[in-house]
Formats: sequence, structure tokens, C-alpha cells
Amino acid sequence: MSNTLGIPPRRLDAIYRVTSVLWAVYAAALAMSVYGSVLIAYADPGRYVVSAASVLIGLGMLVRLIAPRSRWTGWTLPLMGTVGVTAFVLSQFGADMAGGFTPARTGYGLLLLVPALIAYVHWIAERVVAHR
Amino acid sequence: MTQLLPQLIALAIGLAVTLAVKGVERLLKRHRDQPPDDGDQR
Repeated sequence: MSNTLGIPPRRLDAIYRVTSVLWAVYAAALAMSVYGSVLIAYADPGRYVVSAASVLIGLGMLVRLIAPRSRWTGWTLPLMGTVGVTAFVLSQFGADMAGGFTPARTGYGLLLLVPALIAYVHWIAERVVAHR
Repeated sequence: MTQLLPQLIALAIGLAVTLAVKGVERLLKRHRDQPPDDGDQR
């Protein structure tokens, strides 16, 4: 697999495996967190949709360990970003409904948002830089 | 009572951000694949 970074194929393979495991762990964490969050508890059926999408991403990432990688990056990471941003907005609506914004409620939302932004950067970087 | 509108807004924002990032990807790819400008060659 050619790339513009000059990374040897075996090392690129290792990077793919590590990032697949990391994203799978994060997807599972997001699914559990959104499912059980008090702030997002009002959002039926939204929290089930977000949790199910996260589980799907986690399974996709496990397949990405062994499958053709760029194809599995193509839908898992954009979905990861979508799900993360959606969870962030849901948590902030939830904070408003729970009585107002507090540092802890806003911080929880930002903890959901930052990995979503990292997923977007990973997605674009892999598409634009790593593959020709 | 379950409120559906905030949930739809949240989903729409998530999809909109992803589509915007997809647009950025297309711009970057077009920039990458552009042939080098003659003026840059020495």
C-alpha cells in the first residue's frame, strides 16, 4: 500500500491495528456513556440510536484490524464524528433541560466532542495524506 | 415526555458537520492532485 509519508508498509499496518483497537475501545465507551448518561436520559429514542451506532462502529473497527483498511476507515470514522457531535449536542440540550449549564455538564459534553474532532482529523488525514 | 425536536436538531448538526468535513476533504484532494505550477519549477 503506497503512501505519501514514506512509512514502510509493515509499520503502516501496525499503526492501522493500534488505531483500530483504540477506536473500538472509544466506540464501546461512547455507547455505554450515552446509554447511561443522566444528561442524555431524556433523549428517547435518540440515545438508543447513538448507542447502537457506536456499537456498530466498534464492530467495524474490530473488522478493520484484519480487513482492507481504507474501506473500513471510509464509513467508521465519519460515523464516529457524526455520533460524537450528536452526543455532544444532546448532552448540552440535556444540560439545559436539567436546570442549566454547569462546568461539569459542559465539560462532559466537551469530553464527547474532542474525540469526534480527532476522528474527523484522522479520517481526512488518512484519505488525503496516507493514500494515493 | 420525550421531546423529539432537540434530538432531530442534534442529529442534523452531527450530519452537517460531517458533510462540511467531507467538503474540506474534497478541497484538499483537489489541491493535492493539482499539477505543479510552471512558475514554481526552476
